[in-house]
Amino acid sequence: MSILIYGEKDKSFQELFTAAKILKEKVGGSIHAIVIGHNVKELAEKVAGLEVDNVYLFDNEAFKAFNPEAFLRALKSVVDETNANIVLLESNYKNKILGGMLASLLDAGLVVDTVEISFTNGKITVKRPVYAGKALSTQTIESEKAIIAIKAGVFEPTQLGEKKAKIVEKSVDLSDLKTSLVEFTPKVVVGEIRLEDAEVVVGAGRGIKKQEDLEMIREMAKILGGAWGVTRPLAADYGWAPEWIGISGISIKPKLYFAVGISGQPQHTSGIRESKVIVAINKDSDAPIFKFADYGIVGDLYQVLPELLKRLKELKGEA
Amino acid sequence: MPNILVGVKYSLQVENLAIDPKTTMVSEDETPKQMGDMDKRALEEAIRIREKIGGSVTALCVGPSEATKIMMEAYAMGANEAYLLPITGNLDTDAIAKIFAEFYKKKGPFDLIILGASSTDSFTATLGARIANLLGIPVLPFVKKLELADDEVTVESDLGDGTYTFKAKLPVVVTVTLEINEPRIPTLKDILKAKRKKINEIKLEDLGLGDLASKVRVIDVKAYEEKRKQIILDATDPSKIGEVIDQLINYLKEEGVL
Repeated sequence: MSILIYGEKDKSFQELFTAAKILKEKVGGSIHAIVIGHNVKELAEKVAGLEVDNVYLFDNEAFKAFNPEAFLRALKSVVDETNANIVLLESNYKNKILGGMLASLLDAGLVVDTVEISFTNGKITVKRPVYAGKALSTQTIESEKAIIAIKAGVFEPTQLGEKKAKIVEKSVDLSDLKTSLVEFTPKVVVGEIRLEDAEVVVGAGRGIKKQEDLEMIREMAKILGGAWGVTRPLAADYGWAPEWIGISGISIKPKLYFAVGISGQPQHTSGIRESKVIVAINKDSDAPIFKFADYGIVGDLYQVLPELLKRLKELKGEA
Repeated sequence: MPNILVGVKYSLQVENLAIDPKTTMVSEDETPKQMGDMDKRALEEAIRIREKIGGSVTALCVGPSEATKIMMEAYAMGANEAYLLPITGNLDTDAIAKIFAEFYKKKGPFDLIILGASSTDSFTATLGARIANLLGIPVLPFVKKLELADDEVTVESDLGDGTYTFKAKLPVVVTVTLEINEPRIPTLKDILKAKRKKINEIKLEDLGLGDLASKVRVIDVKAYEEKRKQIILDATDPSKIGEVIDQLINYLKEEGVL
Protein backbone atom coordinates (compact mmCIF):
# COMPACT_ATOMS: atom_id res chain seq x y z
CA MET A 1 0.00 0.00 0.00
CA SER A 2 1.38 3.39 -0.88
CA ILE A 3 0.63 6.91 -2.03
CA LEU A 4 2.01 8.08 -5.37
CA ILE A 5 2.36 11.76 -6.24
CA TYR A 6 2.69 12.97 -9.83
CA GLY A 7 3.50 16.59 -10.65
CA GLU A 8 4.97 18.58 -13.49
CA LYS A 9 6.86 21.27 -11.58
CA ASP A 10 8.63 21.28 -8.21
CA LYS A 11 5.88 23.44 -6.74
CA SER A 12 3.16 20.96 -7.63
CA PHE A 13 5.16 18.12 -6.05
CA GLN A 14 5.65 20.22 -2.91
CA GLU A 15 1.91 20.87 -2.62
CA LEU A 16 0.93 17.30 -3.42
CA PHE A 17 3.39 16.06 -0.81
CA THR A 18 1.63 18.15 1.86
CA ALA A 19 -1.65 16.48 0.89
CA ALA A 20 0.02 13.06 0.83
CA LYS A 21 1.22 13.53 4.41
CA ILE A 22 -2.35 14.26 5.57
CA LEU A 23 -3.52 11.04 3.96
CA LYS A 24 -0.55 9.02 5.18
CA GLU A 25 -1.31 9.87 8.81
CA LYS A 26 -4.61 8.07 8.42
CA VAL A 27 -3.93 5.30 5.96
CA GLY A 28 -0.22 4.66 6.54
CA GLY A 29 2.09 3.21 3.90
CA SER A 30 4.86 4.98 2.07
CA ILE A 31 4.92 7.96 -0.30
CA HIS A 32 6.54 7.76 -3.72
CA ALA A 33 6.85 10.33 -6.49
CA ILE A 34 6.91 9.99 -10.25
CA VAL A 35 8.55 12.43 -12.66
CA ILE A 36 7.77 12.14 -16.38
CA GLY A 37 9.31 14.36 -19.04
CA HIS A 38 12.36 15.18 -21.11
CA ASN A 39 15.51 16.58 -19.46
CA VAL A 40 13.83 16.39 -16.06
CA LYS A 41 16.68 14.91 -13.99
CA GLU A 42 17.06 18.21 -12.19
CA LEU A 43 13.38 18.17 -11.25
CA ALA A 44 13.73 14.60 -9.96
CA GLU A 45 16.71 15.69 -7.81
CA LYS A 46 14.59 18.45 -6.28
CA VAL A 47 11.66 16.12 -5.65
CA ALA A 48 14.07 13.75 -3.92
CA GLY A 49 14.38 16.51 -1.30
CA LEU A 50 10.88 15.69 -0.10
CA GLU A 51 10.41 12.90 2.41
CA VAL A 52 9.40 10.33 -0.15
CA ASP A 53 10.79 6.81 -0.42
CA ASN A 54 11.50 6.66 -4.14
CA VAL A 55 11.37 9.07 -7.03
CA TYR A 56 10.60 7.18 -10.23
CA LEU A 57 12.06 9.00 -13.19
CA PHE A 58 10.98 8.65 -16.82
CA ASP A 59 13.32 10.89 -18.81
CA ASN A 60 12.80 10.39 -22.49
CA GLU A 61 12.33 12.55 -25.55
CA ALA A 62 8.99 10.80 -26.10
CA PHE A 63 7.77 12.60 -22.97
CA LYS A 64 8.80 16.06 -24.18
CA ALA A 65 5.15 16.97 -24.74
CA PHE A 66 1.99 15.36 -23.48
CA ASN A 67 0.58 12.28 -25.12
CA PRO A 68 -2.19 10.77 -22.97
CA GLU A 69 -1.38 7.16 -23.88
CA ALA A 70 2.37 7.47 -23.35
CA PHE A 71 2.05 9.22 -19.99
CA LEU A 72 -0.58 6.74 -18.87
CA ARG A 73 1.76 3.82 -19.56
CA ALA A 74 4.50 5.37 -17.43
CA LEU A 75 2.11 6.20 -14.61
CA LYS A 76 0.44 2.80 -14.65
CA SER A 77 3.76 0.94 -14.53
CA VAL A 78 4.75 2.77 -11.34
CA VAL A 79 1.31 2.37 -9.76
CA ASP A 80 1.75 -1.37 -10.30
CA GLU A 81 5.33 -1.43 -9.03
CA THR A 82 4.59 0.55 -5.87
CA ASN A 83 1.22 -1.07 -5.33
CA ALA A 84 -0.16 2.43 -4.93
CA ASN A 85 -3.73 2.66 -3.74
CA ILE A 86 -3.83 6.46 -3.73
CA VAL A 87 -2.58 8.62 -6.60
CA LEU A 88 -2.39 12.39 -6.15
CA LEU A 89 -1.97 14.75 -9.05
CA GLU A 90 -2.61 18.37 -9.89
CA SER A 91 -6.07 19.08 -11.27
CA ASN A 92 -5.61 20.38 -14.79
CA TYR A 93 -6.86 19.41 -18.25
CA LYS A 94 -4.07 16.95 -18.96
CA ASN A 95 -4.37 15.25 -15.61
CA LYS A 96 -8.14 14.98 -15.81
CA ILE A 97 -7.60 12.84 -18.89
CA LEU A 98 -4.78 10.83 -17.30
CA GLY A 99 -6.79 10.48 -14.10
CA GLY A 100 -9.87 9.35 -15.99
CA MET A 101 -7.97 6.66 -17.87
CA LEU A 102 -6.08 5.53 -14.80
CA ALA A 103 -9.26 5.38 -12.70
CA SER A 104 -10.86 3.17 -15.24
CA LEU A 105 -7.77 0.92 -15.49
CA LEU A 106 -7.48 0.54 -11.72
CA ASP A 107 -11.21 0.52 -10.99
CA ALA A 108 -10.50 3.42 -8.66
CA GLY A 109 -12.67 6.28 -7.44
CA LEU A 110 -11.63 9.59 -8.98
CA VAL A 111 -12.27 13.10 -7.75
CA VAL A 112 -11.08 16.24 -9.52
CA ASP A 113 -10.81 19.96 -8.69
CA THR A 114 -10.26 19.02 -5.03
CA VAL A 115 -9.90 21.94 -2.62
CA GLU A 116 -10.10 20.09 0.70
CA ILE A 117 -9.32 16.58 1.97
CA SER A 118 -10.56 15.01 5.19
CA PHE A 119 -11.93 11.72 6.50
CA THR A 120 -15.44 10.71 7.56
CA ASN A 121 -15.89 7.24 9.07
CA GLY A 122 -12.56 6.23 7.62
CA LYS A 123 -13.52 7.26 4.11
CA ILE A 124 -11.59 9.87 2.17
CA THR A 125 -13.82 12.91 1.89
CA VAL A 126 -13.15 15.78 -0.46
CA LYS A 127 -14.71 19.10 -1.29
CA ARG A 128 -14.76 20.45 -4.82
CA PRO A 129 -16.44 23.38 -6.57
CA VAL A 130 -19.26 22.47 -8.97
CA TYR A 131 -21.85 24.30 -11.08
CA ALA A 132 -19.38 26.70 -12.67
CA GLY A 133 -17.90 27.27 -9.24
CA LYS A 134 -21.13 28.53 -7.70
CA ALA A 135 -21.37 25.71 -5.20
CA LEU A 136 -19.15 23.41 -3.18
CA SER A 137 -19.78 19.67 -3.24
CA THR A 138 -18.74 17.26 -0.49
CA GLN A 139 -17.97 13.80 -1.81
CA THR A 140 -16.69 10.54 -0.35
CA ILE A 141 -14.61 7.95 -2.14
CA GLU A 142 -16.25 4.57 -1.69
CA SER A 143 -13.72 2.42 -3.53
CA GLU A 144 -10.54 0.89 -2.18
CA LYS A 145 -8.33 2.80 -4.60
CA ALA A 146 -8.49 6.55 -5.01
CA ILE A 147 -7.20 9.07 -7.51
CA ILE A 148 -7.38 12.62 -6.28
CA ALA A 149 -6.72 15.58 -8.58
CA ILE A 150 -6.02 18.63 -6.42
CA LYS A 151 -6.29 22.27 -7.48
CA ALA A 152 -2.99 24.13 -7.52
CA GLY A 153 -2.42 26.44 -4.59
CA VAL A 154 -4.75 24.63 -2.18
CA PHE A 155 -2.09 23.02 0.01
CA GLU A 156 0.92 24.84 1.39
CA PRO A 157 4.05 23.64 -0.39
CA THR A 158 6.36 21.52 1.78
CA GLN A 159 9.89 22.92 1.82
CA LEU A 160 12.45 21.01 -0.20
CA GLY A 161 15.29 19.61 1.90
CA GLU A 162 18.54 17.88 1.05
CA LYS A 163 18.25 15.08 -1.46
CA LYS A 164 17.22 12.02 0.53
CA ALA A 165 15.07 9.81 -1.63
CA LYS A 166 16.36 7.27 -4.08
CA ILE A 167 15.92 8.14 -7.75
CA VAL A 168 14.90 5.11 -9.76
CA GLU A 169 15.36 5.54 -13.50
CA LYS A 170 12.65 3.86 -15.47
CA SER A 171 11.56 3.29 -19.02
CA VAL A 172 8.40 1.92 -20.51
CA ASP A 173 7.52 0.35 -23.83
CA LEU A 174 6.06 3.07 -26.02
CA SER A 175 5.63 1.05 -29.18
CA ASP A 176 2.20 0.73 -30.80
CA LEU A 177 0.84 3.96 -29.39
CA LYS A 178 -2.48 4.62 -31.05
CA THR A 179 -2.28 8.38 -30.58
CA SER A 180 0.49 10.38 -32.18
CA LEU A 181 1.40 13.93 -31.30
CA VAL A 182 2.03 15.84 -34.52
CA GLU A 183 2.76 19.25 -33.09
CA PHE A 184 2.75 21.18 -29.83
CA THR A 185 2.43 24.96 -29.71
CA PRO A 186 2.97 26.23 -26.17
CA LYS A 187 0.87 29.10 -24.92
CA VAL A 188 2.43 32.52 -24.94
CA VAL A 189 2.69 34.04 -21.49
CA VAL A 190 0.82 37.33 -21.65
CA GLY A 191 2.82 39.46 -19.25
CA GLU A 192 5.96 39.10 -17.23
CA ILE A 193 4.00 38.00 -14.20
CA ARG A 194 1.81 34.92 -14.37
CA LEU A 195 -1.82 35.61 -13.55
CA GLU A 196 -1.94 32.87 -10.94
CA ASP A 197 1.05 34.34 -9.06
CA ALA A 198 0.21 38.05 -9.30
CA GLU A 199 -0.65 40.17 -6.24
CA VAL A 200 -2.60 42.63 -8.35
CA VAL A 201 -4.62 41.64 -11.41
CA VAL A 202 -6.46 43.87 -13.85
CA GLY A 203 -9.10 42.00 -15.84
CA ALA A 204 -10.82 43.25 -18.98
CA GLY A 205 -14.24 42.21 -20.25
CA ARG A 206 -16.52 42.96 -23.14
CA GLY A 207 -16.81 46.59 -22.05
CA ILE A 208 -13.47 46.99 -23.82
CA LYS A 209 -14.48 47.75 -27.39
CA LYS A 210 -11.29 47.35 -29.38
CA GLN A 211 -8.19 45.21 -28.99
CA GLU A 212 -5.93 48.28 -28.92
CA ASP A 213 -7.87 49.57 -25.90
CA LEU A 214 -6.34 46.71 -23.92
CA GLU A 215 -3.30 49.00 -23.77
CA MET A 216 -5.04 50.85 -20.90
CA ILE A 217 -5.43 47.58 -19.03
CA ARG A 218 -1.79 46.65 -19.64
CA GLU A 219 -0.65 50.07 -18.48
CA MET A 220 -2.72 49.85 -15.33
CA ALA A 221 -1.29 46.43 -14.51
CA LYS A 222 2.21 47.77 -15.10
CA ILE A 223 1.68 50.77 -12.81
CA LEU A 224 0.41 48.47 -10.07
CA GLY A 225 3.17 45.91 -10.61
CA GLY A 226 0.64 43.26 -11.45
CA ALA A 227 -0.63 41.08 -14.27
CA TRP A 228 -3.49 41.61 -16.67
CA GLY A 229 -5.99 39.23 -18.16
CA VAL A 230 -9.28 39.00 -19.98
CA THR A 231 -12.58 37.18 -19.74
CA ARG A 232 -13.42 34.14 -21.82
CA PRO A 233 -15.12 35.92 -24.76
CA LEU A 234 -12.12 38.19 -25.31
CA ALA A 235 -9.75 35.24 -25.38
CA ALA A 236 -11.76 32.42 -26.91
CA ASP A 237 -14.06 34.38 -29.26
CA TYR A 238 -11.97 37.42 -30.21
CA GLY A 239 -8.52 35.86 -29.78
CA TRP A 240 -7.14 38.91 -27.97
CA ALA A 241 -5.27 36.78 -25.44
CA PRO A 242 -4.27 33.11 -25.28
CA GLU A 243 -5.88 32.47 -21.89
CA TRP A 244 -8.64 33.82 -19.72
CA ILE A 245 -9.54 34.34 -16.09
CA GLY A 246 -12.33 32.04 -14.94
CA ILE A 247 -13.20 28.61 -13.65
CA SER A 248 -12.56 27.06 -17.07
CA GLY A 249 -9.36 29.05 -17.50
CA ILE A 250 -7.07 30.48 -14.85
CA SER A 251 -8.24 30.88 -11.27
CA ILE A 252 -6.57 33.82 -9.60
CA LYS A 253 -6.05 34.86 -5.98
CA PRO A 254 -4.51 38.31 -5.90
CA LYS A 255 -4.75 40.78 -3.05
CA LEU A 256 -6.44 43.22 -5.38
CA TYR A 257 -8.49 42.49 -8.48
CA PHE A 258 -9.90 45.11 -10.84
CA ALA A 259 -12.76 43.86 -13.03
CA VAL A 260 -12.98 46.40 -15.84
CA GLY A 261 -15.97 46.27 -18.17
CA ILE A 262 -16.78 42.76 -16.95
CA SER A 263 -20.44 41.81 -16.52
CA GLY A 264 -19.79 39.00 -14.03
CA GLN A 265 -20.80 35.66 -15.53
CA PRO A 266 -20.51 32.78 -13.00
CA GLN A 267 -17.80 31.27 -15.18
CA HIS A 268 -15.66 34.34 -14.50
CA THR A 269 -16.63 35.18 -10.92
CA SER A 270 -15.83 31.63 -9.78
CA GLY A 271 -12.28 32.11 -10.95
CA ILE A 272 -11.79 35.30 -8.92
CA ARG A 273 -13.42 34.14 -5.68
CA GLU A 274 -10.12 33.86 -3.80
CA SER A 275 -9.19 37.51 -4.44
CA LYS A 276 -8.88 39.54 -1.24
CA VAL A 277 -10.39 42.77 -2.52
CA ILE A 278 -12.40 43.09 -5.72
CA VAL A 279 -13.06 46.39 -7.50
CA ALA A 280 -15.52 46.49 -10.40
CA ILE A 281 -15.88 49.23 -12.99
CA ASN A 282 -18.95 48.93 -15.20
CA LYS A 283 -21.43 51.35 -16.72
CA ASP A 284 -24.38 49.05 -16.09
CA SER A 285 -25.42 49.42 -12.44
CA ASP A 286 -27.32 46.12 -12.68
CA ALA A 287 -24.28 44.14 -13.82
CA PRO A 288 -23.93 41.00 -11.63
CA ILE A 289 -20.24 41.80 -11.06
CA PHE A 290 -21.24 44.42 -8.46
CA LYS A 291 -22.56 41.62 -6.21
CA PHE A 292 -19.09 40.09 -6.27
CA ALA A 293 -17.28 43.36 -5.68
CA ASP A 294 -16.12 45.08 -2.51
CA TYR A 295 -16.01 48.40 -4.32
CA GLY A 296 -17.87 49.22 -7.47
CA ILE A 297 -17.68 52.24 -9.72
CA VAL A 298 -20.73 52.71 -11.90
CA GLY A 299 -19.50 54.66 -14.89
CA ASP A 300 -18.11 54.56 -18.39
CA LEU A 301 -14.74 52.86 -18.25
CA TYR A 302 -13.52 55.02 -21.14
CA GLN A 303 -14.00 58.04 -18.88
CA VAL A 304 -13.08 56.48 -15.52
CA LEU A 305 -9.96 54.56 -16.53
CA PRO A 306 -7.88 57.48 -17.86
CA GLU A 307 -8.52 59.39 -14.63
CA LEU A 308 -7.77 56.35 -12.50
CA LEU A 309 -4.54 55.71 -14.40
CA LYS A 310 -3.48 59.31 -13.86
CA ARG A 311 -4.12 59.11 -10.11
CA LEU A 312 -2.43 55.73 -9.74
CA LYS A 313 0.62 57.01 -11.59
CA GLU A 314 0.86 59.99 -9.23
CA LEU A 315 0.40 57.72 -6.26
CA LYS A 316 3.04 55.22 -7.34
CA GLY A 317 5.32 58.09 -8.38
CA GLU A 318 5.13 59.50 -4.85
CA ALA A 319 6.06 56.22 -3.23
CA MET B 1 -19.15 6.56 -43.88
CA PRO B 2 -18.75 7.01 -40.17
CA ASN B 3 -21.17 5.72 -37.62
CA ILE B 4 -21.06 8.35 -34.88
CA LEU B 5 -22.18 8.13 -31.26
CA VAL B 6 -22.76 11.38 -29.39
CA GLY B 7 -23.24 11.66 -25.64
CA VAL B 8 -25.56 14.37 -24.35
CA LYS B 9 -26.24 15.28 -20.76
CA TYR B 10 -29.36 16.75 -19.26
CA SER B 11 -27.41 19.43 -17.43
CA LEU B 12 -28.35 21.92 -14.77
CA GLN B 13 -28.62 25.53 -15.87
CA VAL B 14 -25.92 26.85 -13.57
CA GLU B 15 -27.11 30.42 -13.97
CA ASN B 16 -30.50 29.38 -12.54
CA LEU B 17 -29.51 27.23 -9.57
CA ALA B 18 -32.32 26.59 -7.09
CA ILE B 19 -30.84 27.32 -3.68
CA ASP B 20 -32.57 26.84 -0.34
CA PRO B 21 -31.90 30.17 1.38
CA LYS B 22 -31.87 28.59 4.86
CA THR B 23 -29.47 25.73 4.29
CA THR B 24 -27.74 27.11 1.12
CA MET B 25 -28.21 23.61 -0.31
CA VAL B 26 -28.62 23.36 -4.05
CA SER B 27 -31.74 21.50 -5.16
CA GLU B 28 -31.01 19.65 -8.39
CA ASP B 29 -34.66 18.73 -8.84
CA GLU B 30 -35.83 22.30 -8.80
CA THR B 31 -33.09 23.68 -11.01
CA PRO B 32 -34.06 24.02 -14.69
CA LYS B 33 -32.08 21.83 -17.06
CA GLN B 34 -30.97 21.81 -20.68
CA MET B 35 -28.65 20.04 -23.09
CA GLY B 36 -25.04 20.78 -22.03
CA ASP B 37 -23.37 23.57 -24.01
CA MET B 38 -20.45 21.43 -25.08
CA ASP B 39 -22.69 18.39 -25.71
CA LYS B 40 -24.67 20.49 -28.16
CA ARG B 41 -21.45 21.25 -30.01
CA ALA B 42 -20.55 17.56 -30.00
CA LEU B 43 -23.86 16.83 -31.68
CA GLU B 44 -23.40 19.70 -34.15
CA GLU B 45 -19.93 18.44 -35.08
CA ALA B 46 -21.26 14.92 -35.68
CA ILE B 47 -24.08 16.21 -37.86
CA ARG B 48 -21.67 18.36 -39.88
CA ILE B 49 -19.48 15.32 -40.53
CA ARG B 50 -22.51 13.35 -41.71
CA GLU B 51 -23.66 16.21 -43.92
CA LYS B 52 -20.23 16.28 -45.52
CA ILE B 53 -19.38 12.61 -45.97
CA GLY B 54 -22.44 10.64 -44.92
CA GLY B 55 -22.86 8.14 -42.13
CA SER B 56 -25.21 8.29 -39.19
CA VAL B 57 -25.50 10.05 -35.85
CA THR B 58 -26.82 8.36 -32.72
CA ALA B 59 -27.35 10.41 -29.57
CA LEU B 60 -27.37 8.77 -26.13
CA CYS B 61 -28.43 10.37 -22.87
CA VAL B 62 -28.23 8.78 -19.44
CA GLY B 63 -30.57 10.81 -17.31
CA PRO B 64 -34.02 11.28 -15.81
CA SER B 65 -37.10 10.48 -17.91
CA GLU B 66 -37.73 14.23 -18.42
CA ALA B 67 -34.56 14.28 -20.51
CA THR B 68 -36.76 13.24 -23.46
CA LYS B 69 -36.96 17.02 -23.92
CA ILE B 70 -33.34 17.28 -25.03
CA MET B 71 -33.60 14.08 -27.07
CA MET B 72 -36.36 15.73 -29.12
CA GLU B 73 -33.96 18.62 -29.54
CA ALA B 74 -31.29 16.17 -30.73
CA TYR B 75 -33.74 14.92 -33.38
CA ALA B 76 -34.61 18.49 -34.36
CA MET B 77 -30.92 19.28 -34.81
CA GLY B 78 -30.58 16.25 -37.06
CA ALA B 79 -29.68 13.10 -35.09
CA ASN B 80 -30.69 9.88 -36.85
CA GLU B 81 -31.40 8.03 -33.62
CA ALA B 82 -31.88 9.22 -30.07
CA TYR B 83 -31.63 6.90 -27.07
CA LEU B 84 -32.50 7.60 -23.47
CA LEU B 85 -31.37 5.37 -20.65
CA PRO B 86 -33.54 6.54 -17.77
CA ILE B 87 -32.07 6.58 -14.30
CA THR B 88 -33.32 7.86 -10.99
CA GLY B 89 -30.87 9.70 -8.77
CA ASN B 90 -27.26 10.17 -9.74
CA LEU B 91 -24.63 7.86 -11.12
CA ASP B 92 -20.96 8.75 -10.99
CA THR B 93 -18.80 9.16 -14.09
CA ASP B 94 -17.40 5.65 -13.66
CA ALA B 95 -20.89 4.15 -14.00
CA ILE B 96 -21.85 6.39 -16.94
CA ALA B 97 -18.65 5.34 -18.75
CA LYS B 98 -19.58 1.67 -18.33
CA ILE B 99 -23.01 2.38 -19.82
CA PHE B 100 -21.47 4.09 -22.86
CA ALA B 101 -18.97 1.28 -23.37
CA GLU B 102 -21.70 -1.37 -23.25
CA PHE B 103 -23.94 0.68 -25.52
CA TYR B 104 -21.06 0.90 -27.99
CA LYS B 105 -20.77 -2.88 -27.99
CA LYS B 106 -24.48 -3.50 -28.25
CA LYS B 107 -25.54 -0.83 -30.78
CA GLY B 108 -22.22 -0.19 -32.47
CA PRO B 109 -19.50 -0.48 -33.22
CA PHE B 110 -19.14 3.23 -33.81
CA ASP B 111 -16.25 4.88 -35.63
CA LEU B 112 -16.35 8.01 -33.57
CA ILE B 113 -17.68 8.85 -30.14
CA ILE B 114 -18.05 12.60 -29.71
CA LEU B 115 -18.77 14.10 -26.29
CA GLY B 116 -18.71 17.53 -24.76
CA ALA B 117 -15.28 18.00 -23.12
CA SER B 118 -17.06 18.55 -19.84
CA SER B 119 -20.54 19.02 -18.54
CA THR B 120 -21.51 22.59 -17.83
CA ASP B 121 -22.68 21.66 -14.35
CA SER B 122 -20.04 19.41 -12.79
CA PHE B 123 -17.09 20.10 -15.11
CA THR B 124 -15.42 16.79 -14.27
CA ALA B 125 -14.16 16.24 -17.83
CA THR B 126 -13.17 12.60 -17.37
CA LEU B 127 -15.95 10.66 -19.12
CA GLY B 128 -14.28 10.48 -22.53
CA ALA B 129 -11.02 9.19 -21.08
CA ARG B 130 -12.83 6.48 -19.18
CA ILE B 131 -14.93 5.30 -22.14
CA ALA B 132 -11.83 5.19 -24.34
CA ASN B 133 -10.00 3.13 -21.79
CA LEU B 134 -12.87 0.66 -21.36
CA LEU B 135 -12.99 0.18 -25.13
CA GLY B 136 -9.21 0.16 -25.59
CA ILE B 137 -9.32 3.03 -28.08
CA PRO B 138 -7.63 6.46 -28.01
CA VAL B 139 -9.14 9.61 -26.53
CA LEU B 140 -8.50 13.01 -28.07
CA PRO B 141 -9.61 15.48 -25.41
CA PHE B 142 -10.55 19.19 -25.32
CA VAL B 143 -10.73 19.45 -29.09
CA LYS B 144 -11.32 22.83 -30.73
CA LYS B 145 -10.81 21.65 -34.32
CA LEU B 146 -11.48 18.27 -35.89
CA GLU B 147 -10.66 16.89 -39.31
CA LEU B 148 -11.61 13.49 -40.55
CA ALA B 149 -9.89 11.96 -43.57
CA ASP B 150 -10.54 8.31 -44.46
CA ASP B 151 -9.96 6.36 -41.29
CA GLU B 152 -7.85 8.94 -39.52
CA VAL B 153 -8.79 11.90 -37.38
CA THR B 154 -6.58 14.94 -36.75
CA VAL B 155 -7.49 17.32 -33.96
CA GLU B 156 -6.29 20.44 -32.21
CA SER B 157 -6.56 20.02 -28.45
CA ASP B 158 -6.30 22.90 -26.01
CA LEU B 159 -4.82 21.36 -22.88
CA GLY B 160 -4.22 24.53 -20.90
CA ASP B 161 -0.48 24.90 -21.53
CA GLY B 162 -0.80 25.02 -25.29
CA THR B 163 -2.33 23.53 -28.39
CA TYR B 164 -1.61 19.90 -29.22
CA THR B 165 -2.19 18.47 -32.68
CA PHE B 166 -3.00 14.79 -32.26
CA LYS B 167 -3.64 12.16 -34.87
CA ALA B 168 -5.27 8.76 -34.41
CA LYS B 169 -6.92 6.04 -36.43
CA LEU B 170 -10.60 5.32 -35.97
CA PRO B 171 -12.29 4.35 -33.77
CA VAL B 172 -11.60 7.17 -31.31
CA VAL B 173 -13.29 9.13 -28.57
CA VAL B 174 -13.18 12.89 -29.15
CA THR B 175 -14.26 15.44 -26.54
CA VAL B 176 -15.02 18.92 -27.83
CA THR B 177 -14.89 22.41 -26.33
CA LEU B 178 -17.08 25.47 -26.93
CA GLU B 179 -14.71 26.77 -29.61
CA ILE B 180 -15.27 23.93 -32.08
CA ASN B 181 -18.42 25.26 -33.73
CA GLU B 182 -21.55 27.32 -33.33
CA PRO B 183 -24.45 24.88 -33.04
CA ARG B 184 -27.45 25.31 -35.32
CA ILE B 185 -30.81 26.46 -34.03
CA PRO B 186 -33.48 24.08 -35.33
CA THR B 187 -36.23 25.67 -37.42
CA LEU B 188 -39.89 25.28 -36.53
CA LYS B 189 -40.15 22.78 -39.37
CA ASP B 190 -37.28 20.73 -37.90
CA ILE B 191 -38.97 20.79 -34.51
CA LEU B 192 -42.31 19.65 -35.88
CA LYS B 193 -40.62 16.90 -37.91
CA ALA B 194 -38.74 15.76 -34.81
CA LYS B 195 -42.02 15.34 -32.92
CA ARG B 196 -42.94 12.44 -35.21
CA LYS B 197 -39.77 10.58 -34.25
CA LYS B 198 -39.61 8.08 -31.45
CA ILE B 199 -37.13 8.29 -28.63
CA ASN B 200 -35.65 4.86 -28.09
CA GLU B 201 -35.60 3.76 -24.50
CA ILE B 202 -32.88 1.43 -23.35
CA LYS B 203 -32.44 -0.10 -19.90
CA LEU B 204 -29.40 -1.12 -17.90
CA GLU B 205 -30.54 -4.77 -18.19
CA ASP B 206 -30.57 -4.47 -21.99
CA LEU B 207 -26.87 -3.70 -21.76
CA GLY B 208 -26.21 -6.55 -19.37
CA LEU B 209 -25.48 -4.12 -16.57
CA GLY B 210 -26.87 -4.72 -13.11
CA ASP B 211 -26.75 -2.24 -10.29
CA LEU B 212 -23.94 0.19 -10.90
CA ALA B 213 -22.40 1.16 -7.60
CA SER B 214 -20.93 4.66 -7.49
CA LYS B 215 -17.30 4.84 -6.45
CA VAL B 216 -17.71 8.47 -5.53
CA ARG B 217 -20.71 9.52 -3.50
CA VAL B 218 -21.99 13.09 -3.30
CA ILE B 219 -22.85 13.94 0.30
CA ASP B 220 -24.11 17.47 -0.24
CA VAL B 221 -23.83 20.50 -2.49
CA LYS B 222 -23.89 23.92 -0.90
CA ALA B 223 -23.94 27.26 -2.68
CA TYR B 224 -21.05 29.57 -1.90
CA GLU B 225 -22.10 32.64 -0.01
CA GLU B 226 -20.79 35.81 -1.59
CA LYS B 227 -19.59 38.02 1.22
CA ARG B 228 -18.37 41.13 -0.52
CA LYS B 229 -18.77 44.65 0.82
CA GLN B 230 -20.60 45.88 -2.28
CA ILE B 231 -19.82 49.55 -1.72
CA ILE B 232 -21.03 51.20 -4.90
CA LEU B 233 -19.74 54.60 -6.05
CA ASP B 234 -21.61 56.46 -8.75
CA ALA B 235 -19.49 58.01 -11.49
CA THR B 236 -22.13 58.17 -14.20
CA ASP B 237 -21.83 61.95 -14.01
CA PRO B 238 -18.35 62.62 -15.49
CA SER B 239 -17.84 65.58 -13.14
CA LYS B 240 -17.94 63.13 -10.19
CA ILE B 241 -15.18 60.86 -11.50
CA GLY B 242 -12.29 62.60 -9.73
CA GLU B 243 -14.10 62.50 -6.40
CA VAL B 244 -15.11 58.85 -6.79
CA ILE B 245 -11.54 57.84 -7.63
CA ASP B 246 -10.26 59.61 -4.52
CA GLN B 247 -12.79 57.70 -2.45
CA LEU B 248 -11.80 54.42 -4.05
CA ILE B 249 -8.11 55.05 -3.47
CA ASN B 250 -8.78 55.81 0.20
CA TYR B 251 -10.75 52.59 0.59
CA LEU B 252 -8.01 50.56 -1.04
CA LYS B 253 -5.37 52.17 1.18
CA GLU B 254 -7.45 51.30 4.25
CA GLU B 255 -7.63 47.72 3.00
CA GLY B 256 -3.85 47.75 2.73
CA VAL B 257 -3.87 46.61 -0.87
CA LEU B 258 -2.58 49.74 -2.55
